Amino acid sequence: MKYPIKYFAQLKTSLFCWLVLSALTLIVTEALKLQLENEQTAVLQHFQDEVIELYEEVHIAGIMSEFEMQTEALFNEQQSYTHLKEEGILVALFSDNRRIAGSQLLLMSQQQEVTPKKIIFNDLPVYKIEFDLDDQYSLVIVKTPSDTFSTANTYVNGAAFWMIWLSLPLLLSIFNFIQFRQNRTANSLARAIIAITSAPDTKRLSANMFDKPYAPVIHAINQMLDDVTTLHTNMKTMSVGIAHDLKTPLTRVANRMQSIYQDLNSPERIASHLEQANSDLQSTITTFNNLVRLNAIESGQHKQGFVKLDLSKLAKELGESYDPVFIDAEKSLEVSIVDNIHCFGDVDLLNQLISNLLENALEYSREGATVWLRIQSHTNGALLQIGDDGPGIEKSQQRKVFQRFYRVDKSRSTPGNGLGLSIVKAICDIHNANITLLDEQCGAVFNIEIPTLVD
Amino acid sequence: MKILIVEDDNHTAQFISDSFTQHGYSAQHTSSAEQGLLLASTHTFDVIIFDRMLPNMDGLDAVRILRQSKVSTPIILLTALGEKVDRVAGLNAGADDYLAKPFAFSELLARVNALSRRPPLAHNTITLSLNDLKLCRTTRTVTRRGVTIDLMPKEYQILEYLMLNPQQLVTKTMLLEQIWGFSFDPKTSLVQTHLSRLRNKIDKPFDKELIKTIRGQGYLISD
Repeated sequence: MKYPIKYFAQLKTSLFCWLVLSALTLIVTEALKLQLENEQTAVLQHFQDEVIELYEEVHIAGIMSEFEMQTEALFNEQQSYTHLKEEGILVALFSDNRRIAGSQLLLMSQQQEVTPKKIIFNDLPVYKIEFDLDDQYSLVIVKTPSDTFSTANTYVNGAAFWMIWLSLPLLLSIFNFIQFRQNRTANSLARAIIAITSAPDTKRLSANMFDKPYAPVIHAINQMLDDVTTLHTNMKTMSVGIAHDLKTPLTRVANRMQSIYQDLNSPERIASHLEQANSDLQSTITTFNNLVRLNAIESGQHKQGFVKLDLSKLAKELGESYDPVFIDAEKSLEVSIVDNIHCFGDVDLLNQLISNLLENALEYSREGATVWLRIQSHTNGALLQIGDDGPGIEKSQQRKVFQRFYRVDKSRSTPGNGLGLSIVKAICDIHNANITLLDEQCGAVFNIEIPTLVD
Repeated sequence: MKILIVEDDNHTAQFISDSFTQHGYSAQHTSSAEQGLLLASTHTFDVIIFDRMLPNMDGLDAVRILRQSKVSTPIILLTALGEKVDRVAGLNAGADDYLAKPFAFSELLARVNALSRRPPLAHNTITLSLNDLKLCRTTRTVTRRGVTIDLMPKEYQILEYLMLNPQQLVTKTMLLEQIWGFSFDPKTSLVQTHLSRLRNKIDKPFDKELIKTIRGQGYLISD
């Protein structure tokens, strides 16, 4: 499966980013312009100071010549505009509020204004300053902004304009490029995973095939595949186990059927064959029941039925029940249990836990063996131990005993289905109990640590 | 005795109903839950056998409906789910017994008998007696021909259960459930061992054997 690449998939994101970027650009532009204006004002202030200094040195005549003004020759409107355009400056000189030289157009303000002031003069943005030279003379000056400032202003405006209009296509391409790369990686990842599903036990993803940010994903997928492989292997072992455990009794049943045909004339023999066949079928049913039960235990459905129970009492009763069974088998069961150990669990399952271990001990211990069932309290729980004094389980096999359908007896000729200890393990797991098969013992000794309840 | 079988699997139903007929019972079968409910509430049966999983209805709901409509006929639920949690759910819903498939017919028969022939007040009787065997449920003493017999707790419980169901087959599974509370089958001869010890005390010293073994099926006590 391939995910189609959508070219304008990121249109919304791009537009949003563009709006944000444009707003930012406008704000920055305005700030820059304000900065430029302040500098211009400072320059004019400086100019004003220079004019006043000049007046103190050369008096009114000097000022007149500096600004090319003549008394009696006032600039008319036309002359004023031309002068402003050519020289960038227009001046009017007042003596006691009376115009004595310069442009006709420039007026003294009625009130003293804060200068320099930005005004529009014949469609030209200009700065107006007016100030007193002394008690008699005042000057009104209109000055166009200096070239540097105008150019800077134009540049700022231009930059903002281009920034805003070029960023849209740029953002669109960047986002779509990212999207494209992501899609491409997702698609190749999908292809790689699909390729692996054909052989999940042997193939793994290689981290080199993908970008670095995907390394954790690759790692997680490989981890998952490892788990799948483990499960898969367990399943294989299990199916082989089931097949074998079913084949033997079913073959026997088939043989019995044959025998029934041959013995059709003898009702007693038929009855005996039927009884044998029935017992063989019972063993396959038991295997299935155990499998169903094992799965039910593992699913954790019993947890809802957990109650506070007296583990000591439960174990003691089991010990009493099994004692005659051990005596009949000419073995002995030694029970030593500390009273009043309570835990939270399922009575039926804990009964099965202890029964299964006792029965294993009964079945696999040597002739005349001593088997023990002990419970003692322990730091944060109870320690339940079921063991026998020989012959025990071979060291190489110890790790495998809890696996499903694992049989120490490889020929599978003794009765049993290799599920007993798997069930024991599953029961321990849902009770948060930890089961270990002790090594360096002369027999098989199982230790189970069960969390207990304090009264 | 009339038995109603509500079971959607025709093979199983045929097997059960034929076997009951052979044992002299009258069995009626239906494969639909609705039909079963209708029959159960309009006719009189001694025992109803209900499959837990029917096409249109959960057997548990069927049991609840019957109990709500005051049908008190004993009900045995049949199920492919043999887990104890399900068992408890079944008993809570108002079923009287619960049997996991696949089962031996003798097992079903024993349970049907235990339910239908149970004397109404047997469970409240203080003294149970059979032939010359007497069991006092308050003092938990057992005597035979006047001789007190010392029993272990489990042996006493087994004997009590057998005497509550005299002349009836009691299977190994029934004993495991009733006496030990096990819903699993231990590999070893736990039940056989206790039974044989019980017989050594109850029967062996006397000339008449009361507890009988039915091979491959179970035990029954009779005189």
